[in-house]
Amino acid sequence: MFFYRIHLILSKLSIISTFFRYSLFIFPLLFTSAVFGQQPTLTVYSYSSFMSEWGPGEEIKKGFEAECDCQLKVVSTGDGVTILNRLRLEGAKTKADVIVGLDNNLLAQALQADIVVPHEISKPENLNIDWWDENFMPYDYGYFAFIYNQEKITTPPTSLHELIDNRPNWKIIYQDPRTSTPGLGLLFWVQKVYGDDAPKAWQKLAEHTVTVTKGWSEAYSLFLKDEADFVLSYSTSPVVHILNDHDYRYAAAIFTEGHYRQVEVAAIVKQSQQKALAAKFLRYLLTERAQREFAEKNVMYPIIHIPLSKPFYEIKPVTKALEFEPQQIEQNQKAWIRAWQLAVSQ
Amino acid sequence: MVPIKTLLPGMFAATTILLIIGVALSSLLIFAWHTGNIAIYFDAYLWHTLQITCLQAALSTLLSILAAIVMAKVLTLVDFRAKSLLLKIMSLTFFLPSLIVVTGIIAIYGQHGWLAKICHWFGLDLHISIYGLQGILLAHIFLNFPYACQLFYHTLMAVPSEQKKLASQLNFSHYIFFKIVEWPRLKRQLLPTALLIFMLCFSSFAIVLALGGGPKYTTIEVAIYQAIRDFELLQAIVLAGLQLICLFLLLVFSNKFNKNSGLNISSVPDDYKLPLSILGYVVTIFILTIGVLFILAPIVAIIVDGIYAFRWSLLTVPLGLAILYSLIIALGSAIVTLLLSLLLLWTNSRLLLKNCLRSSRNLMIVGNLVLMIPSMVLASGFFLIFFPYAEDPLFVSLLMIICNGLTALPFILRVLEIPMYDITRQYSHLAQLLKISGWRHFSIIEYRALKPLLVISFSFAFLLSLGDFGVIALFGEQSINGYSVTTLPYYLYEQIAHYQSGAVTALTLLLLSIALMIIIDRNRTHYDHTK
Repeated sequence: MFFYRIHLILSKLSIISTFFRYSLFIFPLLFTSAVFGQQPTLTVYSYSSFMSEWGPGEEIKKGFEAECDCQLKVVSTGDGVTILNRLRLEGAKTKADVIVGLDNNLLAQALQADIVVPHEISKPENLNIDWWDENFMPYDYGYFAFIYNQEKITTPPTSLHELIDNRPNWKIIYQDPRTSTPGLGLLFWVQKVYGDDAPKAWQKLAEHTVTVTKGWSEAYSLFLKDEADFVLSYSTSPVVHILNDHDYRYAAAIFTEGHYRQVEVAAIVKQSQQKALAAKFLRYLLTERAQREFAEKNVMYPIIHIPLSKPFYEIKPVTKALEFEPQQIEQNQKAWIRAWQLAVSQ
Repeated sequence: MVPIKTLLPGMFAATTILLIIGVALSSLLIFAWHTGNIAIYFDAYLWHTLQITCLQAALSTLLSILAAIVMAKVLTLVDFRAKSLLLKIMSLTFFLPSLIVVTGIIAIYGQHGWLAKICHWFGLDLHISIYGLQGILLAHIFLNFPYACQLFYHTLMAVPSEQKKLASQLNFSHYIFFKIVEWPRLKRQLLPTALLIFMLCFSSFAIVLALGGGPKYTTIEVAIYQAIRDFELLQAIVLAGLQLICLFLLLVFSNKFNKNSGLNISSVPDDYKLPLSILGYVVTIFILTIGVLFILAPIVAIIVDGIYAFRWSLLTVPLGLAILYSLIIALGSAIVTLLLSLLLLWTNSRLLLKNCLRSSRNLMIVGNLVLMIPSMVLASGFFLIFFPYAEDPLFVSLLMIICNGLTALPFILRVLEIPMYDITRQYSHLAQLLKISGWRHFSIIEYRALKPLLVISFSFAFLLSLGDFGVIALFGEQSINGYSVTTLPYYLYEQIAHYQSGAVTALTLLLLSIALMIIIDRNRTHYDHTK
């Protein structure tokens, strides 16, 4: 989901479009509802990368508004965790109709907070993975993986154990699980593979860690600046390099233990007064046009089987998916994070 | 006894401050209760955080002070043309925005920084990582050592030349001279300076967040930020309490040892230098060069990188907006700070005049209260109340104006407190005789006499707000349809985070800071002359 940001590094700013975007912003947005008062407004809460210049939000907003006879108001706030917390705080007073951007790791918390209602959309025939939920509608997914430069690393590790045992003394960068989605993914991944031995694995990893960054983008740009041999990202990361620069140097190391999976979901908020319109928006997210936006801007796999651009077929596929049950995550996440903190602080 | 009219301004300011702090704290408490997330972790990691916070602060202080003493001593031994300029720069690095410091440090000591390049050029492969304790220390020393150094330098220069002449006649070595003449003078200044540096490093945020390299090296202030982000509000309150206790103990401790600090340095122009052997001269020049390089290199690096990276296309609308927001917010918070401090000091001066020492002290405690409360706690308290408006640019700007204005208040109070009292006392009889009071008193007496100081205070508050990176770290993420409030430091952080060309942003921020510092310096000279 943070992948749109790679464009920040790989492409230049377009002054004119930015100016257009921001010039609107200087005038408070308060009167928009007065101007467009005749149309209903659907309020969407999402993470901040969704609506950014490189995110899928802009196109999806345009596409949906063209056919819904409504206005879409996208409120962005940090990441999935922040969306959830915000809804918890606002409680019954929330103006949100739809949330886009929770993931499979937040489901138990979201259910417990009692903020969503079943979406009543039937499971499509052409799902890419066997993942469906009556409350949360998946819209894209991906696998966490370590990315390396094939010119520098000729014999990449074939398992997580090999990477963490780290005989060749590879330098590694990963993200803080408290502030970053891939970081949290790695936490679950290590937990799934190592179980109770996870703290020992973290300590081993710490010996070869260059730095633990706050977010994905810091880590990835350090990696591109050649400060490390491996960086935690998604298995689809090389797609961006191929798409933008025809650069085939980067690859994901595929591990025999499997890769932890992230599934991004959208849901209808319990307090919404426009549930029909909200459901319409969710259905729109499953159209080929929206799915293509998610695939190419988020650089994740679409949830529906659609033809993709060539690079998606050129990268190494993940063969085995790992995932915890939402309840297991809810019960253990805090403890695992504390254990990680302690292990890497030794 | 004291007419209510004199009390009113101070009371009003104090009530406002207490109200703001009270609202922020109680909202945090209420929401902490409300979220039901009442888990508090008194575990090994909390103690680890506390230990590291103290350890890095202690090391930073120790190294800064040591370096400052050595450099100050060296400076007294030689004369060169740019010395007064150097001393001015040294007194200013202290107030540089912390993200500028981070940028400069990375530019010099980073994996691809100037130092690595120079070493590479000489065929040496330097593999020092900037992330971790070493990075934090480096940045803290860069920030604090020059400030301490110029303080010490002025103390050492105040040693009367008779003593120096006598020492050279008696053939004292530099070591003996330092031990029996200079050290006793320095000693009195050492503790207050060390305490100030310790306190600032203790609550360091942006530097630790950017250079800490993970959970191993962290501070309580960063832990508070993490806790707030995770909505572990009670944990944040516990951490804030812990920080409060530490700082409070430190203050008590400092008051106990600080009683004889009524130090009055009379700077006598004094050209006599102790004689130096050739070896001594070489060592002196060597240390001086290293010190000057250490201080100037990061600043020069920012300027050079900024000019080198400059493209017209980098002057983007987001950068322009960030500058605009920064200026508006800084202007607003400078006004808030100046207003609050003048109101407080107006009453305070009159209380002192009437010998109401206790009331005066209480008033000043209220003004300094913000020093003890982490700005992150203040900001998050407001953040929680005004969550629904968190993406309204007007609202976020107002909130930042209030938060930054309050944060700068203790520093401005320190600048204005004594001059305000002096001027009030000086003209009290005349004012009574001529029946000048209220607004006219201020415009005729305070405003005219203290104008340069008011400009200094205003610029100082402006500067502090301009460089603030704390409150905005919480609010910068919020937006509607992709638009949000960005200040220069936040924009810079985003760029550093993306390893974008933050060079131009950093240069802009640096130049703005330098411009303000020049204004401050000009007015200080002006004030010293008119005094």
